[in-house]
Amino acid sequence: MNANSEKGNMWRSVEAKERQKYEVEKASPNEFPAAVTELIEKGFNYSLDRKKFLTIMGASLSMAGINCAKQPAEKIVPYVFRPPEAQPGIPVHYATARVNHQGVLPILVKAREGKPIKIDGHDEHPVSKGAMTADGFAGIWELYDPDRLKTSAEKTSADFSDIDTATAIAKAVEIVKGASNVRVLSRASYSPSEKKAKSSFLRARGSRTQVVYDAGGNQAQLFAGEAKSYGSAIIPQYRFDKADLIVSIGADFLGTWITPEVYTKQHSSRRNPDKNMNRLVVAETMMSLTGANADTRFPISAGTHLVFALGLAKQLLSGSAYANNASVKKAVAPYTAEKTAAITGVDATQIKSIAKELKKKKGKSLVVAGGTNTLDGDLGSIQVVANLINSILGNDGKTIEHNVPLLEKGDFSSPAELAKLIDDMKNGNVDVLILDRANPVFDLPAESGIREAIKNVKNVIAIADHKDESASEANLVIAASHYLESWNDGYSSGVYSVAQPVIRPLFDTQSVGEIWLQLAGLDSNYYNFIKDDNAGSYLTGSLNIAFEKALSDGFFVARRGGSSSSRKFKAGALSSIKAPTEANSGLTLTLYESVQIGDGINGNNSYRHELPDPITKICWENFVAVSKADAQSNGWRLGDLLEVSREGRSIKAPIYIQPGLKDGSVALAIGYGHESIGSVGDGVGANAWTLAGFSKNGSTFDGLSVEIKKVESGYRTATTQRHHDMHGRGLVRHAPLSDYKENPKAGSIEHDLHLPGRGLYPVHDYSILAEGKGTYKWGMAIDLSKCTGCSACVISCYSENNIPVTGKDEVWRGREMSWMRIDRYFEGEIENPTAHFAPVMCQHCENAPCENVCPTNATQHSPEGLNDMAYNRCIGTRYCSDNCPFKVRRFNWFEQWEGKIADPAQYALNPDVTVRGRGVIEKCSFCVQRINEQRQMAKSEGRKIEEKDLKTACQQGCPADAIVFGDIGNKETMARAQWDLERGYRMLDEVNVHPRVKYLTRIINQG
Amino acid sequence: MSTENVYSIGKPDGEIDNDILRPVESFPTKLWWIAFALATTAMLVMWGIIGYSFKVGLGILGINNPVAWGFYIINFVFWVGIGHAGTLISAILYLFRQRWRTSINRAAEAMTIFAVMTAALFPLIHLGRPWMVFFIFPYPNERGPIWTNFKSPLLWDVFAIGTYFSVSLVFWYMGLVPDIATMRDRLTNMEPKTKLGKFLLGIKKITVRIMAIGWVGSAKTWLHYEKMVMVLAALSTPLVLSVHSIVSMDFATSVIPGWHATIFPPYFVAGAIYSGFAMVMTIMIISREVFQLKSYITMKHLENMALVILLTGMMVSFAYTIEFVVAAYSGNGVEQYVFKNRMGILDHASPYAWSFWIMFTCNVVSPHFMWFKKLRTNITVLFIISIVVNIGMWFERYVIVVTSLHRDYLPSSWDLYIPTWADYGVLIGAFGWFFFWYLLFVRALPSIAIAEVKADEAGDKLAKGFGH
Repeated sequence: MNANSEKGNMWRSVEAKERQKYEVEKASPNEFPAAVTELIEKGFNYSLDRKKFLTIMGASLSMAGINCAKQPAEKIVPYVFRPPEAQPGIPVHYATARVNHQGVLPILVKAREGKPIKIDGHDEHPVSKGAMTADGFAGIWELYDPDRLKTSAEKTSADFSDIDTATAIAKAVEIVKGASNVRVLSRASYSPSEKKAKSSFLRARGSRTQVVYDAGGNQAQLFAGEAKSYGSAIIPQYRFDKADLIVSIGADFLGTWITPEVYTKQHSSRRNPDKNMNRLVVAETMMSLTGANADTRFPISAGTHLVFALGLAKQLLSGSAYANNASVKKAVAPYTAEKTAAITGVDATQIKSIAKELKKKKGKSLVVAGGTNTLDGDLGSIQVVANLINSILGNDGKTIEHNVPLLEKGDFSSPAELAKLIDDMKNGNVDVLILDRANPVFDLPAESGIREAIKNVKNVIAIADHKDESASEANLVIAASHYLESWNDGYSSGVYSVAQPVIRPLFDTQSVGEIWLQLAGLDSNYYNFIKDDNAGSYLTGSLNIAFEKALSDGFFVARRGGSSSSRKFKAGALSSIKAPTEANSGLTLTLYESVQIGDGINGNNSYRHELPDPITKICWENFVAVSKADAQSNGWRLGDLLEVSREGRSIKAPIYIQPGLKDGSVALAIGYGHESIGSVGDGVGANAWTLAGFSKNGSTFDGLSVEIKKVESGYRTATTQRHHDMHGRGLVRHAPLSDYKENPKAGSIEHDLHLPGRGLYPVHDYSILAEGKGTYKWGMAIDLSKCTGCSACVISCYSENNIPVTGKDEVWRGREMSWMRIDRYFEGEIENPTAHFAPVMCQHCENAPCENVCPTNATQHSPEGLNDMAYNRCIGTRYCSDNCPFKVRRFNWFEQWEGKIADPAQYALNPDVTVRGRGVIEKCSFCVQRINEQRQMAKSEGRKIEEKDLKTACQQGCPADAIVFGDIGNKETMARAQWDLERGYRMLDEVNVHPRVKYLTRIINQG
Repeated sequence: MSTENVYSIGKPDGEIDNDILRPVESFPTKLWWIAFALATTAMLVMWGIIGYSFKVGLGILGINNPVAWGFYIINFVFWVGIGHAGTLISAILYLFRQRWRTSINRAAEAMTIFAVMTAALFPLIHLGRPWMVFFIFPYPNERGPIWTNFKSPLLWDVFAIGTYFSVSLVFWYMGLVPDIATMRDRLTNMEPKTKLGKFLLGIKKITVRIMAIGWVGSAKTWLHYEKMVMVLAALSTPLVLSVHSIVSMDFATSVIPGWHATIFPPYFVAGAIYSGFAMVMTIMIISREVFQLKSYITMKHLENMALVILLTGMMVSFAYTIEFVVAAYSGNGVEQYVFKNRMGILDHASPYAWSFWIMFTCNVVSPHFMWFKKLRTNITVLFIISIVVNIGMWFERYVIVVTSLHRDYLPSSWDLYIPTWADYGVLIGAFGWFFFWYLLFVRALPSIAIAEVKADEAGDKLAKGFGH
């Protein structure tokens, strides 16, 4: 209504006049078209003749027939009749797999109301057995990353403008069609279908079109070494569960190497001191998770991993089948125990004794070597030596299963091909470069000159999920879907996995398989392509039935491996090996992959950054690890910012004084220092690839000669643990295996204990339990012999319990919100300390100090012994937090969610767990939402909760099976069995708080 | 300490009225305005910070996970402690017939009220959700079986502080009634020149008349009055001991090494009186200079207060010693570590040892200057020591709260506490808030109990008259 038109210029009050003005302004300018009378007289369509009418009518009809949205048959449709399994409030689990450049990770995705909310391990998978790493859990936040590409983009002049993905692919097809020299730079893929789709594109353009590289170098190194030693490029299945003695030379198989989740599960299965316990010996530069868990650890100088391997080979050689092989003899000859000791910094006697131990365990030992931190510029050399050692010891075929490899057909290009491609790019010989989820500008050594080379390519097409450093250089960015949005398949360890989408793409993105199919000019239905063109080669029986089963199971076992005969080692491979013959002088750098960030491809995930590094407990940054002696002699102190430079390139990172690092060695993590990945990752840490070496024989990450100077002091490094000494308090108890054999209570510390019940307040009455009224007594046992400190439980807990990320400044202040943390203590000499880990969450004390002091009764003891927390009742005095001896209670210093969480990140929240507001305390609840869910189900079925049905998030997340949770009031349960072990102790029992968490003393097998 | 009358003012009652009511009946001086402006500014800064923290959260403070209590709780304990001297002077010294208290008790009681008002702010503003503070009061409600937790010392605090404030306020006000009546009577003599003056005087007259609650000053009234004061003094006396004992239980009942100590209640009470007397002394020295009340607040008063400071200072030192001895004797490594860490005698750095040594110097060393008559009768020395003692007592609470929390049981959770601008702002603002009220008080009400001074003076004359 227009007041003006009706009432002329009259108004009743000032407000009314203002309102009139506003309404007039708001009215559309087209409200009163000029020729209004004509329109009224003749009708709106007066100018429409019959022909035009028919034209429009026809167009409308045909448009009504066209379906604008792409709607392939396999897409999810809204329920008209609700399927019985889809109950609102009841989660649905999908078995699928994460298939990426790291390999195939079988996962189980928990979805609520159509939204995936948690990724877990797939318990039924024959190889992974449900094992997960922190990396696997973190995927859920990558799906909901607000900075992910929402649609494709095209660069017109200098800026990007958004275009829809279908158009972008069409444009890419056009660009490729006209170009003569098209090249593809890509990361590895372990999806047979993706490879096949891509190969139909590549086939027309020659075998040299594609270059596949490995940014971290773990896999490429292993494939290259295997090819050199045995002729075929595969990654065999290392069976850590079958080896009595494991020697790792730089390979961080518990943290970052190849498939750490599987290796952790296998390794931990042998960490039971009551059975045949294995022994782990590690020689490495930077203390890795594996090194921290070693029974014996040899710190060696940076750049000498190969020397150590050769030195060990020499000791083992005599009396073996290769003793008289000339090439072998020649290769190892210079590395006598003394020479090796002089170069690596390990005692000659130690090398001899470890060789002696290995000799006793022929066929029952396993020597692994490699990793980012061992790349010395000659790809695969260290693998060749490790393979030699395993062949000498007869481990090949026994603890190394090669008949059904973990990964086969490693299609990595040689470093020379990569160097050639960069040369071609530099010289302007590449018309079109397609980047397949590769970010070479970020993750190739700066020395390669990729940053300049990419600018000389006329057309760069990036298939990416973020507008990362390389995509920013592209002319066309095609938005790729997250793996939880895409169909895919994967093949690893003889198991064929079908990856199904758990949600429709959140944005205008397409899966990489679809994109390649379209680029190759094929039908874009990737689902059909997987099912009809690929699955048949792995599945047996009727395709439809077998595919359906593989889909619901998540996998199909195509081939089964096992022990086999050993392969013939090609001694000739040793001839090209060049290892240092003298000890390093000056500061030598080794670059390594960190557990939380890995190769940095998911650098925009705040949860990864907030997860403290398992060894140093530093988060939101990489750092320069130096030895204490080096820091002292150079006058560096904690809080200094150092500049590390090599051949004119330099980066700045804060110092960290790393115990167990050789003097003269320096370590720095790769994967940090993104410039363009999103609001979280940009500018976090420094890009260590700046310092790495590059040549046509391979990248150099280890043994880089660097100069370091201090540029700033008073730098704030965020860390969750500033103190590393246990002060003899017996918090993480440990004992040598030999002591344990004599005394199962070995390692325990006698305290002058309070007598139970002698408190001011009466003890809790659980007599209801004794009467068998169907309640439970929840408790947890954590086996410190198995726990590796990998932090998968921490990130699983973050995901399950909606724990917010606080950021670097808040972590620096000591305000991280993690409900559980891994305490890490160092013990012994700073040159080579022993590291101890203990996961610490709310201990659910019987005499909980927090319960007494809360003025509002917000935290209470439940009849089942849980220490419950009523967020609504909490007024935030933080008295409970002060009075908690374990300091596991977390306070919401700021509002963490409302107005802070960017769409669509809220979908990652678990609807079963309250999101806590500002000003309240929160803490571990023993996953009470899971207990209650199971309680309801058990009740409706008239039974008790079964142990197998109920797992806390940390227990489920633990790849080492170190955490057991259950009813300790029931003598039948596993939890009770662990709880009753003599090895068990309760942390801070002397304070008389009586925790409901028992730790089992860590037993160290000192050989 | 003498129980004799320490005054011999030798002025007629009217003159005494004039002397004491001068600041109330004249216009404020420039100095007052400056002081008031400073106090108000500081106060407004504090309210600004509090408002901001209400809006965004306590994250603006420096507190963190191991050290979840910081400046706010330190300030709380500090200000509750300050208040104790007032009650001690007005109640216990009254019961013990310490007549020298007469001229300082009014100001000391006012100080108590304002100190408790300052202290009571902190438990409220340190809450994560202050708007939910009503959860802490045990009143019948419909929230089901959840009630307040009577085991929690924080709840005891609520009762202790609440009782303390209300009893102190009643006691103070009842003491004021005869003096307000004097003011009322004197106001009739005033002749305002302007219309506004007349209007304001009218308001003042009404207010004072209401506040004087019909005081007539008859012998019967006085008889009742004296009895009532006696009863109130008797009621207040246990509060002197109970309030800070209960505050100390916030710490003593916990399991945290450095807090978990049975000596805390007497130790805290002694500390409270120690700091309270130092604060009274600071204020008295300023008042007697500024308001020319040297003949009312004499050197004898200051000397007596100095002796109380010496005594309580030694009690506090004794408590410190006992804490260390108990830790050493306990055989409890964690307890011993905390005390070594306080002193900075570890093989590794103790980041807060400086605070302990500030506390030690201020609280243990400085009172011993009071042994010397020359020093304890020197205004400058007394003034400096009174301030030094309060700095020491603030740091005592800093040591207790921060050093105990920052390194407790699990070395993995040890961290640092680094206060922020907001902590400092509220620390200073609390003094602004306190002095805002105190400065208003000295302008609005007689800061010396006129009636009691007159009674003492009369008694003195009488004694002299009869004696000769």
